[in-house]
Amino acid sequence: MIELNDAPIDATHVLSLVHDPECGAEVMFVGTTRQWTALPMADNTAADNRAAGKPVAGNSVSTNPDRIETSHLVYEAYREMALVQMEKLEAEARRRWPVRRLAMVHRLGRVAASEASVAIAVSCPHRSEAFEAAKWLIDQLKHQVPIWKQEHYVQHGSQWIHPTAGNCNCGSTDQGADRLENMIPTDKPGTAKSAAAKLAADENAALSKGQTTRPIDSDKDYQPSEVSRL
Amino acid sequence: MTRRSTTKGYDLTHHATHPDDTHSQCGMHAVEVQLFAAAAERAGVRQLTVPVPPAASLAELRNRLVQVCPKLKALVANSRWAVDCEFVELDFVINGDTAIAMIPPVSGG
Repeated sequence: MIELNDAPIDATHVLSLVHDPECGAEVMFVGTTRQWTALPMADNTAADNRAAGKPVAGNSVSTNPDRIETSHLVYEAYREMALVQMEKLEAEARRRWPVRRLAMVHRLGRVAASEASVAIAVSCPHRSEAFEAAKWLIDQLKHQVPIWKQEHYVQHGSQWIHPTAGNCNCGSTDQGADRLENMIPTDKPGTAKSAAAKLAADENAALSKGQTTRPIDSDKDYQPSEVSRL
Repeated sequence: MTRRSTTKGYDLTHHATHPDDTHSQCGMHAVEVQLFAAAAERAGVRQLTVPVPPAASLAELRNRLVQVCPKLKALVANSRWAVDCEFVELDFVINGDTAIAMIPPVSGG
């Protein structure tokens, strides 16, 4: 079942769609709208500490003074193409793994903080293949399906999110550090006054300088990567 | 939010004689480009008409799109293109009657 839906996602229902008597594994990923997002630290201290296995100051968003609060997101899709691409992902997942049942739902329109924006469930005879298939599907959805989010901030303004690169940890064909991540500001230059606006770095400057901003996707660890063709 | 979900297809063999085609004198064809997210926001519309010469590639269309709407320049550089709901490369030759969309970096999920 593949669906774009303006109504809230019922995760329990989505999971029930993949129940199959020949499957011993049902895996579901639910992507939710993050209310609090830590801004990147000015230097690489956090990353260095993490690499060294040391405690990371400011690692918790709740203790990070430089964080941003999202009130809600607005998702937009090129619906016709999004459905075509999601169907292609299903076909490829079924080719790669013994997927018995599959459900992929993405919400569109306004999504309040902490609500689900996407749910992907698969059932397979065994758990390892179910985990792999579900992970592959959400990673590919984030790369291939024409859906965009606009973040609306509690403090100030909003912006469309257009990540153009980064160190994606999805394990696919990312090109790593030479990729950029760019955020397209909605706010006009000169009106930026808040943490939200601080994020909305000037697009052209970001492009020319290779500026990297924070990870911006609804699941914490995602960063965009190179697009891989099916 | 409402949006035209399909692009009007153009029959290029007849389009040059269309009375509204201001480019017919110079052999140009009008191509409709669908825009989304920040691209639509910047352009202020969800669809732009771009004049291109016959058998133009998407690379050519892309350049002319920026001429029509300079605000899209930076975003165009990072965007992919779709023809009839499939991603295509910039050397794709536009041959009429297709839905052409500029696909800025996606951020679903």
